[in-house]
Formats: sequence, C-alpha cells, structure tokens
Amino acid sequence: MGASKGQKLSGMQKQVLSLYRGFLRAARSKPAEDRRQIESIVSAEFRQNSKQVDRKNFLYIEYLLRRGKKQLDQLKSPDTIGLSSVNVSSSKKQNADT
Amino acid sequence: MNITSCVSSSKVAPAAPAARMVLDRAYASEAEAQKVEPKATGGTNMKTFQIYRWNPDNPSKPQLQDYKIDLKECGPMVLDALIKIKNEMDPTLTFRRSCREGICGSCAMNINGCNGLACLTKIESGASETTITPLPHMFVIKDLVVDMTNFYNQYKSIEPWLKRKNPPPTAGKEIPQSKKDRAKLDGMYECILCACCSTSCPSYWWNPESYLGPAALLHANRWISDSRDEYTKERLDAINDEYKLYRCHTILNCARACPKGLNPGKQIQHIKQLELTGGA
Repeated sequence: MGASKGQKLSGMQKQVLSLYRGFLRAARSKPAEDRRQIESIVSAEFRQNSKQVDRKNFLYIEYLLRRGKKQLDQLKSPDTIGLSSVNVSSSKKQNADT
Repeated sequence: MNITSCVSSSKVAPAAPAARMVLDRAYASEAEAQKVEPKATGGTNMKTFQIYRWNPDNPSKPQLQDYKIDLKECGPMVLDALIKIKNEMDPTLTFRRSCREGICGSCAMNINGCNGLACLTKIESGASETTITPLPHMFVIKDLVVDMTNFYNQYKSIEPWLKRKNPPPTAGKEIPQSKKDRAKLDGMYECILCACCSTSCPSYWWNPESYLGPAALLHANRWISDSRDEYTKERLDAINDEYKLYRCHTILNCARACPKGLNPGKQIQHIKQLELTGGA
C-alpha cells in the first residue's frame, strides 16, 4: 500500500511522516541502546500499519495519529527511558471450563 | 395492646375511650406473608437501545447496534441498562463510569440527542427506542469513550488554583472569606467537569482548539470571583481574546445540558461584563 514518496504527499501522509520523524528525534535524546530499541519498535509499527491499513480508512488513520501523538508526548519526557510492545495474536482464545 | 389479625393492611383505629388510648395495629396474616410477588411471570416490558459502536481493532464504519432489555429486570437509569447489557449480552461494550450517583462525571454521553450523565438519566418509559451515542464532536477512542485531553488541557490553561501576591493576612492560618464572598462561588464550585456543556455548544464544535468552552470559562469565572485570589486582572487579561472568550454567542445549550443544573452561560456573561468595566 505504499504511496511513491516522490509524488505530492497528502496532508495526512505528511502528518504521519512528521510523527515518525518526531519519534526518531525523541529517540535521539535517549541513551544509545534504548535509542536502538525505540527506533526498531517504532519503525516496525509504522511499516506494519502502512501495509495493513487501507489508505482510504481516514477514521482509523486519524485514530492512530492521535494515539501516536500521545505516546510521543509521553516518550519526550525525560523520565521515560524506553518503549516496549506486546504482540497479541489474533487467534481465538480458549474458554476455560471450570 | 390489642392484637388484631386482618388481611388488609390499612385499618383505622376504632374509637377508644378517652382514658385509654389504644393503638389498634393491623398485622398481616400468615397467608399474606407466604404470598410471593409475581415478578418474572407478570409479562415483560422490552425496550430497544441503539448504541454507537466503533472498535479501533477492527476499524470499519461506526454502527448503531440494537439491544433489547427487559425494563422490569433493570434499574431505572440508563447506566443500569448499559451495565446490564455489558454483563449479560455483550461484554465488549465499552463506556466510562464510576460513582453511579452523578458526582464523578465519567458517564457523560449523548442520550436521545441530549447530553447528560447516564447514571442520572432515567430510561424513558414507552416503546420508543433509546439512542445512546458518545459526546458529540469529540474524537472517539472506542464505543462510547471519547478523548477528553483537549478539554482537560483547556481547563489546565486557565490555571485553576489560588494565586496570591501577598502572604495570607494571618500567617499559617486560612485566608478569611466572608459568607457573602463565599456565596459568590455558588453555582460554579459544583462543576464536575463532565464536559456535557462544552460538547453541547455549537461554537465549541466549530472551534474546539481555540474556544475554551463553557466548562473552562465557568471555572475561570470561579477563580476570578474568588475574593481570596489576587490575580484577577491577569486572569481577565489571559482570556480576553477573540477566540478564547468571545466565541460564546449566548447559545445557552450549556445551561440546558448541565446535569448538575449549573448555568455556564450566565458565568460567561459575568466575565464579559467584567472585561468591559474592570479589566483591559
């Protein structure tokens, strides 16, 4: 689902890119190994979303942008030292029979 | 003491001689005590609730989903119905709630077109459907939960704390305030920041980032009117802005929507008057 970055970017695409840049800049202010971890998680998430999310699903993209901005504000604070992510598999959970 | 056993529960005391006042009580008979009130067998009173659903994990268009509830087995308030739906029918229904008595302001939502607290809004009797949607013109996080950060930031921006330039008159003790001055704060301190008023204001819909909204302005007036606060002029200057204050066109939807019966529009008028006479 990639738009070719050479052509004119829509407003929403510019917002996504500036959010990505914001994350990378925030990562720069952290110690070296935390920085690598942040960069890997953030780039993995953005790459996965760019492939999975439909380009026209504005509602969901805006939701992700807002969530990302909040996470970025938290990351910028000097107390935060890193990110972690949990992968929840989408397989059905088994109901425990008691 | 006369003991009379009778079936009916209302019995007037028979005329007794004036010398001895005797209370003739009516005790229910054993037969009546054994009678169980027919609850579930007496027919049902079904009502349909149409609730706004949107899941960020399966993002598609938001939908209105129907749920049928038997009002005879449910409490009188909309929050009772929501909790019943979440417990028995659909555990994925997401909404905020806390005190269930109208003091925390968490369960603010749009019920049948009017903003209000779900724990204070009675379910309308009658067969018509009840539509429950999140607060209007707010970003939705999931189902009925909305993003309140902008609202809270606007509240923070008016600096809702006591600011003084001089130390208190008697050091170490409270700052004295007359009853008359304290009465000036009535109608403003009760605000629970539920956001019903701000999200019912069309002016706030069209300018949510620049207009402060009735709730924040009500609190601004609360601190401006506080006799103990010494930064009155600075507070008035801070909001004396075309967008922060003067987007209010006295539409007065806020007074209509407030679940605590407050009137933010009146407080905003007060600020506007102060700006004309006192401040800049």
